[in-house]
Amino acid sequence: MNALFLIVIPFIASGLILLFRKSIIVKCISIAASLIQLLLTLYVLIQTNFSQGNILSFFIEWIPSLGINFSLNVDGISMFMLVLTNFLSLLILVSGINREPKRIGMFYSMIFFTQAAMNGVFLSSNAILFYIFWELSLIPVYFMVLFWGGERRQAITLKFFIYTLLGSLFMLFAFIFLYWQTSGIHSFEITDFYKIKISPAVQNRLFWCLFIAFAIKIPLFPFHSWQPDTYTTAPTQVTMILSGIMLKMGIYGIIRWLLPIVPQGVEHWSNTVIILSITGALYASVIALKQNNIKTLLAWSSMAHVGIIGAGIFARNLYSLQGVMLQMLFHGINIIGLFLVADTIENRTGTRKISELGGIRNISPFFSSTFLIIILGSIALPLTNGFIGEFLILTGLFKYYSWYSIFAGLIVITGAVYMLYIYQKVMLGQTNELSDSFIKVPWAENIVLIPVIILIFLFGIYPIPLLNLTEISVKGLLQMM
Amino acid sequence: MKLCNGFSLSINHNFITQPPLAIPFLIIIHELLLNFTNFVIKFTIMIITKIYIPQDYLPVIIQTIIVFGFVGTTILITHLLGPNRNTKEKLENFECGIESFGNARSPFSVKYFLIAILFVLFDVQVIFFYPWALNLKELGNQGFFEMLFFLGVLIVGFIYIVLKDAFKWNQ
Amino acid sequence: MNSLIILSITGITLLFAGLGKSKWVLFTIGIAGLITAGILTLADWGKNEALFNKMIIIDDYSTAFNFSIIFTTLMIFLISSNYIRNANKYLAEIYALMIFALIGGCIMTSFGNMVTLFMGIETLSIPLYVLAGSRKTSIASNEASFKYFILGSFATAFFLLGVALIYGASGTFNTNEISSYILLHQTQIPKIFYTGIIILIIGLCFKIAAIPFHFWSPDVYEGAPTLVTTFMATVVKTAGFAAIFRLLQNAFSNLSVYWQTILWIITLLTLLISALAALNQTGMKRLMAYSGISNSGFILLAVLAMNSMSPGAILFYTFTYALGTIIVFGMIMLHQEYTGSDSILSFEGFGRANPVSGIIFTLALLSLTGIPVTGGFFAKYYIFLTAIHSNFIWIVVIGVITTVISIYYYFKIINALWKENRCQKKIPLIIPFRTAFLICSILIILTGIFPDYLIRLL
Repeated sequence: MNALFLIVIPFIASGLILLFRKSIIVKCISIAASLIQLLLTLYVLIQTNFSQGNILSFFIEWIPSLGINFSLNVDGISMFMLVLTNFLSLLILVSGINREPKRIGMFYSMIFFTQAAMNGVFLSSNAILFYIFWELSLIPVYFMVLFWGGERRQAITLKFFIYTLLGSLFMLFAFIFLYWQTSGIHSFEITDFYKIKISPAVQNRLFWCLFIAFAIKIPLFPFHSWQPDTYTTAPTQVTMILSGIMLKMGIYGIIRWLLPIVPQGVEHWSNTVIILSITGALYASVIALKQNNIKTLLAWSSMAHVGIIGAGIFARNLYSLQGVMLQMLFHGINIIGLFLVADTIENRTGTRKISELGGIRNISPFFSSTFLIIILGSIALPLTNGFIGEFLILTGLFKYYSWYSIFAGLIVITGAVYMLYIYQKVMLGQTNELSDSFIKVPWAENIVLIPVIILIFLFGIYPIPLLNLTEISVKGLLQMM
Repeated sequence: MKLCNGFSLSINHNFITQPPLAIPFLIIIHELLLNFTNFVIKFTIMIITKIYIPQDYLPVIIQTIIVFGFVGTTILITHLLGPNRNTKEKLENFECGIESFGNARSPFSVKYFLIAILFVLFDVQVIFFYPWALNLKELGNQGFFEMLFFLGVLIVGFIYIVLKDAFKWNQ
Repeated sequence: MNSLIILSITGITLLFAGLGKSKWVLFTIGIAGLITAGILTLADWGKNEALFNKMIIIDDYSTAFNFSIIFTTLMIFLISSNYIRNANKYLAEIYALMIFALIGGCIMTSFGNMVTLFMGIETLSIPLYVLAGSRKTSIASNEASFKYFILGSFATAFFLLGVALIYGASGTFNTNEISSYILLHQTQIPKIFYTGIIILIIGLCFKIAAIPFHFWSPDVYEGAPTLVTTFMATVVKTAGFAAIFRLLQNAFSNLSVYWQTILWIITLLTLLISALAALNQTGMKRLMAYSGISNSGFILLAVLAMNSMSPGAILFYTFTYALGTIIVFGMIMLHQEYTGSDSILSFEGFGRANPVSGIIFTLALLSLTGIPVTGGFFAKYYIFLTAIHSNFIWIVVIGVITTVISIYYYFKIINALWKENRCQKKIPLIIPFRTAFLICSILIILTGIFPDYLIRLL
């Protein structure tokens, strides 16, 4: 078994889909390819024993004169991310089963391209390879938003692209700088990067070069302004990719490429970053309270959740990092459910305005119950998955500095406020004209919503396997810092 | 004429409608620039490679004085000596009485300029003969054939010009 | 060297062939000549010889750059084929002049002596002055030609003055001898020598349109016929950078501390001002002119760094930049022919009407921006790597920022291309165009995936 397959299969699928025009064939192929991909990932997961070091690795010289190798590596953290990516990709593909975008082959092909690139990001252990996959995942998203997006997409995509590329170019700069600091024959391998000794003053600067890239992708507070617009205007499946998976690239980047490489820089700035993240999360929650557009509200709520995750990373202890790992997956599952619900509502009623909706529960009680469960998961009610992740992060934050966890707790509470507010406005109350057009949900949405609900409860009650999966790697990471 | 930002040139419209008129103008500028740079190069080389005392410049100064003096005196003398009685009739164009009309700067045959340019071109090429002729014996056979080759190139150019009908005045 | 002879013969043959009626004969002769010259250049690979009393030095550096510019000219010939269809009256002259300019470019990359360099520059420039004005009835073209001529001669004069001053101080034109002169007289180099270097750099910066000596570039690019603009943006730039680097490396590398300060300032200005000026452009050709200046800034970074990686970086950058530029200008040319406009607005919906052209155009723009996996990414990356190696950290940060700014204007075009617009018509591609676009786009991707083969050359 070779790690390369995980990248190659989606690429092949992406090319294969382009050959077909019929919607049904495209969907069948894409779901089949995605299933294969997921099964493969799970197979890898079962086969690998992470306590015995890295088994799955792939190495081939690509551009030897510049120290760039095509080297892939899997450890607990990246395995976790791979499962997340491939599982959520499947959910995203299935969720679009009764949507008919124009030129559907192109659309699905681009989704697969993104998936391949994201797998590459999580697998690569060479800095430039990481950067290339990082950028590659951005391009199809740009074109998907440009071609299939909503209003004002021209300006918004441009802003989104410039923002993210600004970050990643600084990352590239930092990588090149680090390259020249490696001892012996210069190389971009992450193992060589870990060995570099840099003075604290330089580390403090390098920290920001790397951090900006990841912070923009996540997005953490001062770098977030592309996010609500893009999430709102992008087609729902792309929003799901962006919020469900692509955002995790940033968090993964921090864990893999920032914490161990510039530990003293992290030490120096972690307080600042935690304060920024928590402020940003609070700020996002407050703005979310005032939103009328469901998708925009979800975008801001996503930012609030991610703010907590960001704070959790920089608390840098076992609890918070474990929490971060779990919360990444849980946030992905929940946000996909939420966006699917929002999209379904928009699809049926033709509006996203909360004020224009109401009383859907009277028409479709099952749908509204699923929505409620996902909301509960998202606001971290005990026995749902959100609770496990946020509780671990808050514990970690408490250990770091108790006041932070208090403010982070506030975010969870405001989260409950606006989430329940949507539920109340949209689902409960009198049925009005618009909501009246909400016909019964066919199986297509349920096929995604039901697994989401199952997972919310499953991981809420029994998260141990996931914790075991990441524990060794997180401990290893902590040792490195 | 569109003025582009940062830099603008206003060009007489005649220049546009009769492009070849511009060519001698360009040539003059080019020659001037070349002369100027040649002068600068020679001058700097002279100053740097040797140290001159002021007396060495005396011939130059005398030459300058003579040149300017000659020009100045001839202009002055013709003005002083020549008869100078302007009457209204004399200042008119023609005594036979036809009123002048149109613009005196009307365009005329391009061919003239073309031939002028071609002359300059070949003239400049021929300058190479002088140093070659002086050193013909030292250069020997190789020099002879090289010059033949050079002539060949010139002749190819000449044939091209002829074939291009550059010498036909009436077309 | 053989390639130069072949090129000269091709040029003269083209002139004579122009007396006949058939335009495709010209095209064939030009292509054949260029291909032969390209092959002969490749045959020179690995040779290291000095010709004409070390006036011309053929080495790997010059061979690589010569091949690059001959190849670029070949591509430009391919996209010139619509001139044939439009029965351009002066086609033979245009082709011949282009070949003669190319010869000048080849001399510029392989000089061993500043006089040869001057000769190369003039051989390159004089045909270009004429070419810029080759659309005789267009006022803009005349203006471009005139402006280019005046400023070009001015730059030449500057260059000559620099040469003279350096000759005055060192007593030689040979670059290697100048270098050893610097080593011998380290403490007592006269002031005029330094002045000479500054003036020399200024004269060369005129040619490569580095800010603040760029004023001619946007106007000339806009006014000149698009084919000539393509030539100026690719071949002239490549040859110019090959020359400036070769000169600075062979002659003045021992004084690098001194001229690096000047070049640093020029690079900084070039990067910043061009990126900002490009933001507000509405015409494609003007925009590409500023983008060209901005790219000059990036190449100057490699010149500035002046280490063992620089030649490779410059070669790679100029080559990939030329590939992208040829595609963009080819598209502009086609589009202009059908709609008569080159404004960005007029490109709205271009991609939707012509999907294949649109994809190729987008690919070229992505490459110019420097997005992986295109050649442009590795070009920029390699430049940054080179510059940071020589510890030019802050200017690389500026370079990163200008790259970000450049995304705005390149992606503005991409956005326009794929906007919905029913007014666009399908533009048919004739075979030479298809060939050129295909070769260029394949090379863009190949240089993006396997850059190693090109990087290892120098």
